[in-house]
Amino acid sequence: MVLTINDIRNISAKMSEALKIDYTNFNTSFLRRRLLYSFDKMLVHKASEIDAVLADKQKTDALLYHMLVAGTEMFRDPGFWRSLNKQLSSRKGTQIRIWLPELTNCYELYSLVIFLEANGYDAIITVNSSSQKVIDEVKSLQIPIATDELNRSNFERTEFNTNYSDYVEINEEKTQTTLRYGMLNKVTFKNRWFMNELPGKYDLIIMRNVLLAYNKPLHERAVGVLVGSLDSKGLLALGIKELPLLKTTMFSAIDATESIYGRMN
Amino acid sequence: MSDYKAVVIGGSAGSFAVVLKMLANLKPTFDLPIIICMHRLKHIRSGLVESLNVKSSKEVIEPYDKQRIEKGLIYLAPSNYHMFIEFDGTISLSTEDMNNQSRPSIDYTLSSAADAYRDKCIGIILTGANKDGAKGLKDISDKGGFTIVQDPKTADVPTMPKAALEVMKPNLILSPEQITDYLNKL
Repeated sequence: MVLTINDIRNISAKMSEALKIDYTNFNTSFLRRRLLYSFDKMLVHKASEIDAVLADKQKTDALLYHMLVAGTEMFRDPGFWRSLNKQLSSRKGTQIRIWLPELTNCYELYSLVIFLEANGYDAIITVNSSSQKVIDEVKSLQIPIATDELNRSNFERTEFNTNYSDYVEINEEKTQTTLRYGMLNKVTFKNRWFMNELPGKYDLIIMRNVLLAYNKPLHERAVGVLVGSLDSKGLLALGIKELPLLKTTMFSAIDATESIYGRMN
Repeated sequence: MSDYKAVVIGGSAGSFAVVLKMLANLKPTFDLPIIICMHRLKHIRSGLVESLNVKSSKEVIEPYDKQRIEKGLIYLAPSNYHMFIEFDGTISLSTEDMNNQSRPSIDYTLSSAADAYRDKCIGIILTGANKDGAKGLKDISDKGGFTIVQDPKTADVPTMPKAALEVMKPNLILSPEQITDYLNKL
């Protein structure tokens, strides 16, 4: 299957209209790859089939699911989690309000709830995802076994002084790993694109490697929404190879290496 | 300097030493951007770029997403990210699925360079232990770009150059020293 620039423009315009997500401002080469990937998974063979996809709720849900780039592993970039622990240490004893604006699979949220418990933080977490299927998968507490070894070695590199097995159970056959029951008790899920949310007041927003899919104007708008939802002295975490781009004095780098930024006022 | 717009290099096992030597021996006036995608350990973020900078005559950086490609700089794909060349002369990064068991994937970088630069691109495949990069180098060749494969006889691990030679006919098959000489004569 081949998608021309015109195909991509037409499809992204129709998806934006129907799904209330601004795909027209996603990175064009990303859109081409991701649409081809999604259509392959969904057995869509022609660009013109997008109308039928968007008219069918089940197919629409599948499209939303496949368009999200799943996270790669738990505790990706262990240095980030070590740094985050340092930045949050003064907030122990208070309830931290955390927002994950676009959940793409289980890894980031499961890492976060383990991080919070391992280091003795009290927090309430709001999670948005444009895909209900992602939310349903995350609620199942199951972790892909394929990444188990990597997840464990990343966890060890976080130097939290607890054991990964305190939080994740593996079955006898060693074919399934599961997050411990109850670990998501303080998580609220919302099936809505984060850009359509009213500004919140959060102490910490984590959105790593999601902005990679956006073009520069949408990236800047998204960072504006994120920073606007930070409370005074709140922290924003991006992927280690993402820059905020937005020119503003509202925030500055707290740890540039780990892409942690702080709201200034 | 020629009217090429960039040199794009892919390598895996054994390629660090080759790249190190190439960058050390590039003449100071060489000003095409060099974009390097090497397979690397995903959990080791630091050390590689620093080591290349010790010997390189040009500055080596690991780009950020959406960073503009500039003359005279050398770009190394960051650990655990795919690296793409965009039509607007910027680099984009991605955490999409591994390709050929690799992230970064050499095929992805080379194929995107083929789309972006077409016949203004020089693609090079070095020593390596899997077939990643073969398709990307073919894409560069198909778009009219200039292609070089390291002579498998000079490769620590010849799988990668051999895989490229199985799917396309490069303009040149050279030793690492000859590749550097070729670039210095552009």
